[in-house]
Amino acid sequence: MMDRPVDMAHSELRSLVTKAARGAGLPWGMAEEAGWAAEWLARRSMPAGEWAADWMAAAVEGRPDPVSYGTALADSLAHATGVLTELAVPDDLVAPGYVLPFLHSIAQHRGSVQITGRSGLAVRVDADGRVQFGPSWRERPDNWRIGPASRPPDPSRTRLSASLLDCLEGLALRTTVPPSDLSRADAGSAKSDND
Amino acid sequence: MSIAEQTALAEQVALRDPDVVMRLSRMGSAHPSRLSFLRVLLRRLVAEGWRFDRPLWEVDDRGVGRAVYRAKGPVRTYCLVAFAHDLPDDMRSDRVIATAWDATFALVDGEPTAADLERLAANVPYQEAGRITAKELCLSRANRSVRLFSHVVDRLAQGHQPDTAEIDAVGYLMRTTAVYGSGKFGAADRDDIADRPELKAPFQAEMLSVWLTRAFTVDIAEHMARVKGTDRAVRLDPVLRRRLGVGNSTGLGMAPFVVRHPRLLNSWVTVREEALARVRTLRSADPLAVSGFLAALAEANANAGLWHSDHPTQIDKLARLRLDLSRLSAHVKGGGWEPADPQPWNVLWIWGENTLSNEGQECLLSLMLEPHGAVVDDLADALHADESEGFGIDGSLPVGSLRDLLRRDYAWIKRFDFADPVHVARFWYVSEEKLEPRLGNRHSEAGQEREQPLGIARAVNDLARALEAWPDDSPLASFLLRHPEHRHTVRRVFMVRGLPFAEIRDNVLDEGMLPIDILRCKLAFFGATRFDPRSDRWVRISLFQGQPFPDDLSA
Repeated sequence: MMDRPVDMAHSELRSLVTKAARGAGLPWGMAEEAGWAAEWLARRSMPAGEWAADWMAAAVEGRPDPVSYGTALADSLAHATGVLTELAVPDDLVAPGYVLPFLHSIAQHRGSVQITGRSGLAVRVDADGRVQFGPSWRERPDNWRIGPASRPPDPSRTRLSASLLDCLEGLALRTTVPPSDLSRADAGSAKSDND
Repeated sequence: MSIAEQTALAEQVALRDPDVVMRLSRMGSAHPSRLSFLRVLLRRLVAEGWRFDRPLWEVDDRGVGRAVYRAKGPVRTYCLVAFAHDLPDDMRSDRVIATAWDATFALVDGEPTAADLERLAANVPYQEAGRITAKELCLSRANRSVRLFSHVVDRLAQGHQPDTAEIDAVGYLMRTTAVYGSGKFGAADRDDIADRPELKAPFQAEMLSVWLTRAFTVDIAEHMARVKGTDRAVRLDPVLRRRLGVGNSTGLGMAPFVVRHPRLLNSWVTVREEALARVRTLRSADPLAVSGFLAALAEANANAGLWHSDHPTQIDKLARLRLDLSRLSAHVKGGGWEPADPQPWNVLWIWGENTLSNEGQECLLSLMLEPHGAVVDDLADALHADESEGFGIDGSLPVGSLRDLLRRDYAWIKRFDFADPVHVARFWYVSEEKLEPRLGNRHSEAGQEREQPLGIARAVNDLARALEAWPDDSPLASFLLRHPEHRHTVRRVFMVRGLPFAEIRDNVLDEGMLPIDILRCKLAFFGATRFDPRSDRWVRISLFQGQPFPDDLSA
């Protein structure tokens, strides 16, 4: 048994995750989806192995896994017609990062898809496979909803919620000094400005 | 008239029927051809003027050390790093469960630095227990043919050449027992190198690795002869040397690959069948092509004479091949075939179909391609396949469309009765022991709950039965949500639609199935000769026998 970290090829990881998923109880076809999803994540430097271990431990116990969930989403939404309506993400879904490859499958046919949560964007996946995480991203879903991305992000602007703005401004105020008569008196001209 | 004009004017001959071509009995009679992967590699190396040398040779008097073989192409360089070991006879095993070998190798992308060599020295000799990196393309190992290696070393040490008969009886100094590529054990991912022209065709890195290994096997024998015979020792006669290939010993592991890569299999077989159809379509026989065909036939006759096997199945097949080749020789030389007739190659082919066994027919195919490089060699560009295509499933499709595909593409499964225990007697599994692929008997061995999904015919049969209860207009997504156990098969059915040669049209779970038929099919595409089964699931072959060595191309 090697005790050092192992650098794996993407195809090697894919094969390993496929077999491990089958070992965790998924049908072969679903295990293949898991392997494919692992490679998709690994190619984007996301922790495909760590997340896989998380959800497979849950799957062994019979709890919902993100691959079966993501596969069902992609099967039903990727090629469907009509408006993509919002869907709730189960709060007990372990390692939700594994849903992202399936969102990409949907985005390739339906346009950008996003998950939103209590603090706005959790993650957005574009048709070209780009992923953008937002403040609602967590290791577990928290009141998340999947839906179409309303508009592409404008890299020249940053949107903050009002509460977040209040929070940040409050903290920023801590860099300021409370007013006093003295500071006020010394702050302006020594002479009246009403000349 | 050019070949293209001839082909255009002649009546186009259709490809052979997949129900004929994709049966195991015929796949197990496959012969290498000029479109085999090693021939594709060698043609490129010659055409592009690749240069070869051996920049490092550090091997001691025990035959232990390291060497580097360099292949320099017009754009890139690849190097085989070889490690020579002193292996006790009792540790020599060709099976994947072995832990030590006579020699171990890595094919490096570019030239290895001193640090690379140290890193590889700490890993490559351990094979599966070590790790390589994205800078390496292949990991492999080889064992000596003890008998021939000793004979060659002894004779060269005494200042004599080895016996030709001894060389021909074995055909190689070493045999590889595994050649890993495509990301295995940390190697570069296939996807990341597949766009290089020299690696686009299948298994080109592996073939290059084995070809350079062949040079090493001779070098190490000559080295040991010099150690033993000092000044008396001589080098191996180049003519004798050319009779040596690299052996390969392989078991069941190759069989699952063929089943798991249907798009790739389709490309390989389509290329071969298209090549055959092109030659059959030619309006006339070019005299040079006729003489090339006769030369290839003479060589095939000689090769069949040297081809030896102790396995009963192969003995029978060899006898049929020899008989077929003698019939073919008599036919073409005795006036039975008239090259001046219209579409003469097609006439010859039809005669072969009506006269020869599968062995003879598949050999005839290779012989007919041999003198027609100008007609068929461009097809090598189509040997690859994008296997990511077709992975996704369109869940919006109606169940009826899947049912239609099953009716159209999988009618052949009706030949099997899966309620009959004989037709499901086997199951494919992976042993815990070094993950060795194995084949079990479902009715007498434990482990079928861990069966690998290779029984495509049965799986399709199961899928068809599950679909019976579903209306045609139901979305596939609903079916898959209810039946995730069929997802693997549904994906496959869509993945291979329109690909007539993607499936082995036989039941690989059948009690009478011979795994060596699958192995031979794949090995023939590699370019293997001297197919010598050691059992119904284990085979030795030779690669590159009769082909040039690197220094022949550099001369």
